[in-house]
Amino acid sequence: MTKNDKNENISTSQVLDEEQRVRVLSPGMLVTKRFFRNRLAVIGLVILVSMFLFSFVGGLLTPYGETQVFKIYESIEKDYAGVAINNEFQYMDAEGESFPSIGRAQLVLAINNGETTFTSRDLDYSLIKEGEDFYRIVQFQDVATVVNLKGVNRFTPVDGETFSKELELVATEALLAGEDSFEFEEVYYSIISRGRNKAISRAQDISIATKKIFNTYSEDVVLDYDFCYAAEKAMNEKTLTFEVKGVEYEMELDEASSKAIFYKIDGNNRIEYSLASNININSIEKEFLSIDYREAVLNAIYNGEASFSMADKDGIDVNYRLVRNNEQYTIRKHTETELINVYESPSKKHPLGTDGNGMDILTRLMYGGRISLIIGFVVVIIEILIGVILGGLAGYFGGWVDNIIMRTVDVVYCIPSLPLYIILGSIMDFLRIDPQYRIFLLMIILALLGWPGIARMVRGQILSLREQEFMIATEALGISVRRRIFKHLVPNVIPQLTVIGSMNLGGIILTEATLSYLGLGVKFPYASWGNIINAVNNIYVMTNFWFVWIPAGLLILITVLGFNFVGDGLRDAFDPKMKR
Amino acid sequence: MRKFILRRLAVSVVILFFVALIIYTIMRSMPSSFVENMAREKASLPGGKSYREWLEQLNESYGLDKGILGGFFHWLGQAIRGNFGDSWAFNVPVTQKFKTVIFDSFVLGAISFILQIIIAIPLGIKAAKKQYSKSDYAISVFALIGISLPSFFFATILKWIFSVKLGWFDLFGMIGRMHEQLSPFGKFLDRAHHMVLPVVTLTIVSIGSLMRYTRTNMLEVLNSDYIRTARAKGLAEKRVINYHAFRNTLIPIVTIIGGSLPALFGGAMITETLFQIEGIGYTAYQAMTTGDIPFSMFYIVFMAILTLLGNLIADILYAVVDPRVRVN
Repeated sequence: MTKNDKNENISTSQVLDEEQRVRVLSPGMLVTKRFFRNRLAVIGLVILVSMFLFSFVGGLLTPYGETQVFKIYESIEKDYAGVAINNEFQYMDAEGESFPSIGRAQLVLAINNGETTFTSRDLDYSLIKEGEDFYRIVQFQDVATVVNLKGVNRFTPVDGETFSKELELVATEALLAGEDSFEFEEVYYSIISRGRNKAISRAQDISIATKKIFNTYSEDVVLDYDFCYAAEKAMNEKTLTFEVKGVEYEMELDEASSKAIFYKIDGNNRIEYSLASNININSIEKEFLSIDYREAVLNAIYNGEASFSMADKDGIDVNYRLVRNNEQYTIRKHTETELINVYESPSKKHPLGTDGNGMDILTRLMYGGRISLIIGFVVVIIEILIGVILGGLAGYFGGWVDNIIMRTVDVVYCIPSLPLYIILGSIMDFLRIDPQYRIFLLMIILALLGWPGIARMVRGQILSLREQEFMIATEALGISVRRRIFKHLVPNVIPQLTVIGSMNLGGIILTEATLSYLGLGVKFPYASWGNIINAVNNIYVMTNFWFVWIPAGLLILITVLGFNFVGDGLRDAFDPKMKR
Repeated sequence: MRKFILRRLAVSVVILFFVALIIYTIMRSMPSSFVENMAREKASLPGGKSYREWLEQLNESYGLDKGILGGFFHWLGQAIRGNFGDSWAFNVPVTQKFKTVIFDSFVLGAISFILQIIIAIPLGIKAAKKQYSKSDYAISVFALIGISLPSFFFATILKWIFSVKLGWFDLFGMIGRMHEQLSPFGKFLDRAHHMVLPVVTLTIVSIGSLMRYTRTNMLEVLNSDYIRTARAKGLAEKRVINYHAFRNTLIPIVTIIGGSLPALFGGAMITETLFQIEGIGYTAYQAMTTGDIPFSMFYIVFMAILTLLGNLIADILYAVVDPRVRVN
């Protein structure tokens, strides 16, 4: 036998080592071991851990925000432009003149009655018919009076006017011919009888009234009176070229559809300038419509086509549809429209779809879980604080302290909690409390009604504990009352507290969900599992969109179940006598 | 015993007073738009008094002009005489409304309660008999699911499956569309048909606690000395369970029946609201959300009385059933 061997023998027989020691587990270890032997409790723990991960970590990982609204673009056929055959007179006022709208009404009356003069607001107007549905509105101003003395006309100019020799000649000719109007240097004169004498009046252009609509080829061109007058005149007289203010214009007339295209002659170039037709085309969104587009519309209408296509600004062909409604046409086109993506079915982008506000349901569930769990924990902590303090005081002191506290407990216990929550929820609705503030209030309310059970349990435990020897020892050692209660008595209640706490957590989550479901708890924009299910109050959502409410309901069920499993497991582990 | 009951009753009255005071205070902090609306309505009638006069008169008649404490004693004085005032939301005396709605709530509560007892007690006993067996686990999980199930979610699932998908029941309401054309027996069947889903919801949601309670009690009884004695003297296991154990398990369960008074008469607020059953719960829900002080006060005091009475009955029953318990 070697020395070494001997030593080993001694060590195994006399020294307490791992093999020799009787294995004794600490009470905490025993509880843990018993807890983990319980299958249901372990399942509950797994559920709770995954719920926490889902809510707190999931909320961080999800690419979407709690209140992020998703939109989609959809092609919807929308009205693009309106087309109407113009039956109304369009007015173009001369420079520096204005033709009031009341005069317009008088003008229409005069045209219908075949009159050539009308009065409006004490002003005399004359209308000169230039062509079909084309009138010139003028005001006459006397330039000279004519006195006929033995066949010789004498012209006396009105103050401030000059009457040239040439004009006199032309006027005399007209007088002799018995005409009542003449033109001189592109100015229209009228001969008016004033009793025995006659007066020469010069026409002052006020406005033209026409049923033609003039459109320009480019957005920045503004058509003036002179051009419109000349162009209209050219259309009536079918003169293919004309000149306005030293600029030459050329016209292409399409008599069948009574439309004309005008070109501006600039040196050798022919620039497209304007288009006139009796069809009015207006874009719904006050967008500038190009002449090409207008022409295409006119052609389509004239040819009786139901649709046509046109390249837009970017050169992409767009299909337009013409919808006829009596004298009017509506042009419709497919437009990309932004829509909120409501109740979208589950897809890769939204694993559980979107809700009625176009928000991602999975993300809402994660944030809702946070709020539900936080509310649960905060409420339970407040409940336990109140319960332990009041229950501890009542149990330790007994007598009148006990009496007062326990009667308070009875009163609070007796208040029907759900009705009270509903009343308080409606009060908060009436007062329009801010949703965030509301969550805090909800926690306080739930806690203030939930503590009596804990207080009763703590009091009962302390009543029996305070009779035990270790309490006599603390008294003998002169430990202060506060320390005796909270250092020596309360820790002995912790097992029961954890059990009741985990059970209460489930109950609080359930109550919060019920209130939020009724619309009296957590409010939008904050998510909670309860207010996500609230959507089923709309029967249409319930029947058609299961993914909106079933996941939230299952989450509530599973979480509460988890808390109950764990609470059950803890109770069995703390109290092996009962064996569940 | 009589002294005990009298003392408990006296304490109950005090508790009731404070409960009513608290609820009244809370209800009064609701903006009283109701009275203002009513005054405006009455003032707009021809030949009436002005808005201000009506407001004063209405406030006086509801005791709203006296401050919270004064108003509360005004209410209390009336309530003791059995006059709970007119419901603001329903425009009829509170007690009259109560009489019309209580019956349906009671029927719903009673059927569900009987079903709970019929299902929960045998299942609880079965689970306890074979502790840790598969059936024990299944029953425990079932009971816990019942406790954890949000009633609104379960009701919605039932509606979804049986009303929407299968079309067996109406989504809500108490009577069908053709109710008036039916024979008396047909009317009864129609009502019963509409009660099925609410009863199922209520039963499943509240069955869990009774089942667990039975199981725990049975386990306790089975571990007690007299059961060991019964087995030791060679009684058949059947007789031990069904005779000796069962009767002792019933002791705490009898007390539960006393304690379930609020569930029987108080109405299941959520279930009734979900199925729109014109019971006391649904009516009270409407009253509370619209700020109807007279009806809400009545309902809450009624619930508080039921709770206190239930506790008292439970205690008395316990003493009656179990001679070991001495009342002091």
